[in-house]
Amino acid sequence: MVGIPSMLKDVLSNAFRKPATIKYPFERLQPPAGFRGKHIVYWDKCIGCGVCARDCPAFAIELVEYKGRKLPIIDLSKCIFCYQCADSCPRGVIDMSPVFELATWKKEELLIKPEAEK
Amino acid sequence: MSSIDLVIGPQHPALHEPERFLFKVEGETVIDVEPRIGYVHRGIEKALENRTFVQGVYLAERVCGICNVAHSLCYVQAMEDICEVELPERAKYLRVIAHELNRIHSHILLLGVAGELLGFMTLFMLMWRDREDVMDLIERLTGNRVNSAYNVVGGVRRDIDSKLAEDLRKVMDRLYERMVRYKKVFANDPTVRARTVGVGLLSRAKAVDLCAVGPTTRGSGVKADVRDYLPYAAYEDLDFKLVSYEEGDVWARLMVRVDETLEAIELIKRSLDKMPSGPICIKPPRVIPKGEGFSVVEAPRGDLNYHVYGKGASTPDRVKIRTPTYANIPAVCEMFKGGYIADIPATLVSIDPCFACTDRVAIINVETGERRSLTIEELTRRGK
Repeated sequence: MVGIPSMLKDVLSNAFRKPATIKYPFERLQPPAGFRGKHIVYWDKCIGCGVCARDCPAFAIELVEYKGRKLPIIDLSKCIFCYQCADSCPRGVIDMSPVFELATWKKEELLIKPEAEK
Repeated sequence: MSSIDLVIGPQHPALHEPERFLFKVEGETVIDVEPRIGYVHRGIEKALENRTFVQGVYLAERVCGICNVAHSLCYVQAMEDICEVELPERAKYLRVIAHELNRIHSHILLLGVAGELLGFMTLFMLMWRDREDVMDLIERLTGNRVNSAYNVVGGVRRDIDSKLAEDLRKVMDRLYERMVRYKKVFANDPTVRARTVGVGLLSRAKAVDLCAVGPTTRGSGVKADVRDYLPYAAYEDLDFKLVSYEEGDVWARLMVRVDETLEAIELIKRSLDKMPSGPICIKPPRVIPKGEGFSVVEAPRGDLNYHVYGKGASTPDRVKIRTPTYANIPAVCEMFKGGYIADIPATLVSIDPCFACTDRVAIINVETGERRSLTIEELTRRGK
């Protein structure tokens, strides 16, 4: 099998091209609108109905008593970021944010709790 | 000459479906194969019995990460079958778009990996760079790069706005040109042809006999594609053209995927043109009635079946899944027979699942019990 490699032209042109990758920790890509990242919860709108906890496929949402109200706790270590909770919520309490860097040193920091907000 | 047992598998980090193959080899030639599957039994079918279909969609699409849209689509179609839900027209077209975007990225991923295993790193790098454009589009359309969570019972979750439709057309045009270029490379390049033509032969009769599915069977000249013989979603109106090659070797199976990618790009453009306006989702009933629902879709790797039994509650009684790779295992075992050890990676990659397990092959001499490992370099170097 002898023949001129047909990709030779591409190889040469790519040698002088800007790299296709970015240097991640120094540069960051902005996720597009509608990216399913870390949750934003508007606590004052919540009516504590528990539909989010019922529909969560990963069982990551739990309802707790907080200052006389029932409010959800979202466990991001269980969450699969499907946002069914936001779809099911009758009051639009849960919203998405483009935050995707969720690694932490402590597992407790992955809980989205009412105390953490105020 | 006495035969030697050669073990491939079962585990490799890059695999979504670990399998172990026990090859009986005589010199360089494989004479028999014994597959052993079932290493990643995760009990998903059982877990689906405890979940409502609202939750089940997200579990179903985790059966396979690469063809996740096909899995969620098949699951929701089976559920819609049993619940007798009528879909809005626009949702059907949106499902086709998500499904075909998924197919494009799956096929480009495989063709790139095929290039890598054939020793053609340039092709691998370039194809994966172009795949990234598709991944970005999937992210913009569905909200995530891989696990899209796009289909739900009763429709889809997100609509396409005019800006995204315009960008989809633009990227698809660009990708089409690139794929035509890659098609020439796959069809004519001496490196690719030397490693794939006449390797891993599967005759048409054998393909039918062993019930191979998807690009594997279409590479052997069998004209079987679910989109063609049992159109779902909006495929009926989209003038789908079936791709098939007669040769039955690795080259034909790769070419089927190249051509299917081109066809998928055409399908996306056509569905963008034909898409009616209107609602994208309707609210389904929460209870699954007594009875059966069945659905089959063409996943990137072949026919995917879901069979659902309802018991009149919110959770199903039974969900049965048959994945395409499972159906292709007897066929891939047939392909190995009579081939060289060095052709094992190329043959494996041609059915899609087991491409990367080849870097941990151990050769055991039966008589002496001596064992040694083969590296990927040794495997990809073709025998004389």
